[in-house]
This record gives sequence, C-alpha cells and structure tokens, in this order.
Amino acid sequence: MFPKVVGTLEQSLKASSLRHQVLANNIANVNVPGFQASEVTFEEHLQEALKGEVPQTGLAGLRTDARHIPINTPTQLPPAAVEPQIRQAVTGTMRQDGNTVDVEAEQAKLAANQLWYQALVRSIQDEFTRLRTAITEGRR
Amino acid sequence: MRWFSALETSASALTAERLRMDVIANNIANAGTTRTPEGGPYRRQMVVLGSRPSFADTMKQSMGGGQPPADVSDQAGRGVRVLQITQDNRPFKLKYDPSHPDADELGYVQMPNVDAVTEMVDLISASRAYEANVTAMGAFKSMVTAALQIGR
Repeated sequence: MFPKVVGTLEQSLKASSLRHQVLANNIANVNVPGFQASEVTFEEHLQEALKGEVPQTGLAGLRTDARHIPINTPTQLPPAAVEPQIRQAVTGTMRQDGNTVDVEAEQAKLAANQLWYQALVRSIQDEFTRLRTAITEGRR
Repeated sequence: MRWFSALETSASALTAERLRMDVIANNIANAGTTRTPEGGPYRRQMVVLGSRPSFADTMKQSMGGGQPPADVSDQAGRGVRVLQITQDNRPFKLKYDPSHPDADELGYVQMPNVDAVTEMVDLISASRAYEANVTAMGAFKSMVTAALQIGR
C-alpha cells in the first residue's frame, strides 16, 4: 500500500543520519593526534541499484534456462535494500600530528547534510500527504 | 541504532575540550608559581586526547575477533575522551632575580616552563573546537525535530 519510494527515502534518511554521526565524530576528534577521518558512502550505491547494475566480480555464468544455478549473474538489488557504508575519508589535509580532519570541510558537509535530511523528511511527508488525499478521495 | 548517539558524540567532545581549557587556565594561573606540593616550580600540564572506539570495535575486541554487529551505525566512532593529564618535561626557565626568596646562590630563580603564547594558541584551538561541536549538536537537534514531523 505504501508508495515504493518511501522505502528508498527511508534508507536515504538512515544514510543521512549515519553521515551526521560520522561527521560529528570527525569534529569531536579534531584534536586527537593520528585520528583518521571517516565518511559515509551511499548515493553511488543507490545510483547503481537504481540503474539495476550491481558491480560484478570475476566470471559470470550464462543462464539459458531458469533452472540453471546463477553464477555471478547480476541480481537486481532493490533500491530500498541499499545500505550506507563507512569508509576512511581521503581529505588531502595532513597535519603535523597525523590527524586528517579538515574542520572547515566537515562543517560545510554538516550543514549540507542537515539541509539534505530536511529535504528527505519533506519528501516523505509529501508522499504521505498524497496517500491521505487518495484515502479521503481528495475531500480534505 | 541508538537515537541520540550523535548527541553523545558531540557531548564527549565538549567535555574533553572544556577540560583542555581548564588545564590551560590552570597553566596560565600558575605561570609564576615557584613552590608546589611536589617541590620546585610548577610544571606545565597537558591533556592527552584519544578517540572512543565504535561499538563494533569494542565488541570485536572483547569477543576476540568475532563478527561485528550487522548494523552499520554501530561502526561509527563514539567521540573523544581524555586519556590522561601529563606533565611537560621541558626544562624550567631561569630568571635572574637575586631578591627572590627562591633564588639560588647565584641569584637565579627556576620559573615554571609555561609559555603564555603556547597557552593562548591552545586556548583558541580548544575554544574553536568547542564551538564546532556545539554547531554539530545544533544541526542534530534540528534534524531530529524535522524527523518528528513525519506523519503529522
């Protein structure tokens, strides 16, 4: 019953929330010597899922019959199943103490992520408003 | 995922940076102290910060290399903590002041190894870091407030 896009938006919201957590952690550790900044990857995975092509590794088995066992054949990962991932960030700044946090860049990302989160919330709200319009037959 | 973990992350940094500022203030206050309970002039103190490992890392360590928790939010770090307060072992500064009660037979007084310029730079660094974390907290609050509007 719920629009399919809500699932995707929910995962995006989760990614945005995780990104805030990671950015907050980077900023918290700005004075820790040797600390390596992290970042969240999500949008590229989502884009791949939306295109329907999951990156393949190695050889792929050709299936000419539905009963064949699939070997590395592209499986369609639904966009709502895409999970955000945490990886070490490549920031380009290298301080004397080995800390790779760039506070200015992190602050900019934090502000952008905050607005992005609010935009996602608005999109979800709009989906539910449309659903409500349909339920009440457009009366309200 | 724990809801307010991002707030705890920022809060841990506020605590750590405030302690840093406390220690810096203590250093500046004792810049002229020539007598301490340990004997000798005051030694400059420094705060050693370390990152708090993520829940997944803590689990892995206590389980001896088991599977990390499936939820990716458990892999995010949990902020910062003060590991210890250490002493600066650089030599004391010598000042020629024969009238000083702690002067040696040559007229020199051992003064604390506190450098006002270093302390001021550290103080600004700590205070800016504090502000950055306050901003992160504000951002999180507005995000949660927005999320509470879903379904209204």
